[in-house]
Amino acid sequence: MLNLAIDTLYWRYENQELADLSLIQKLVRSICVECDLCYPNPLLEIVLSEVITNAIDHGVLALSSTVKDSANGFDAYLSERSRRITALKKGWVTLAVEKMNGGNIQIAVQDSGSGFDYQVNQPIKDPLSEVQFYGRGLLIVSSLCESMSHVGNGNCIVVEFDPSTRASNGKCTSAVVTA
Amino acid sequence: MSVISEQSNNGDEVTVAVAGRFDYRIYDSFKASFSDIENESVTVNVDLSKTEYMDSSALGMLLMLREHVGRAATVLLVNPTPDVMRVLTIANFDKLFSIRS
Repeated sequence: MLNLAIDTLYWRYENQELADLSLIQKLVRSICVECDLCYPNPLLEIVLSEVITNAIDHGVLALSSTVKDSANGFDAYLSERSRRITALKKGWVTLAVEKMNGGNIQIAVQDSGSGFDYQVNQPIKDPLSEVQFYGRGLLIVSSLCESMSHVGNGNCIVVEFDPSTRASNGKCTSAVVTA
Repeated sequence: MSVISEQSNNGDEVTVAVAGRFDYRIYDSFKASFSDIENESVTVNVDLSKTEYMDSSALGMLLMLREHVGRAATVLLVNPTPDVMRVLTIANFDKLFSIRS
């Protein structure tokens, strides 16, 4: 179990709320405001996008990436995704975000899915594989974060993000403008 | 439009520019930018100079582009921004593709 501090930020999205295409962008903005991080923050956005998309697609919707292998696989995947999200009645994703001592941000994402065997199902084994169109999301997350761990039966992932993480010549030039 | 595609007069070169966000939400327009290409020795320049964000779904789409144009064709990733370059490097795409800055 995670020990939630008083100042933990918490979000819960249910059913058709998960279809909101700008959900992740809104979340990143809120987190940057609440945790006083620079914005826009593309690397934080990538991390959130990968873990939340995984939670929705593979957790809540129980979609398998192997669909992408077939002819027109991406089209098939996206239309099945849309069909399942429209029909969703009991799906949810929660997000708990906490600023840790030292300034890192801990993000825990949990979904209503049945989890997965994270000991067996690892990200893409051969990063130089050209034939596999998927499996790189968690590779990116683990590389951009200080730590990444799966919890419980695999329906929860916890990452620790260092807000000073940015591309080599990138500079934090702007904070969120709250008009 | 966040994806703009331009073809040279002789059809040897196609430039696909992705401005802003490069993720699954632009899948249809990205796919349309290369689905007509039949020239097997084409050079496709994917202009990433205005790409502010790229995630793993974009990596998959770049691989689809390359599979579509085939082995004899060349796919160049042009002027990636620092954040995009970081994602490309993590995924080893700097070894899978030619990157021109």
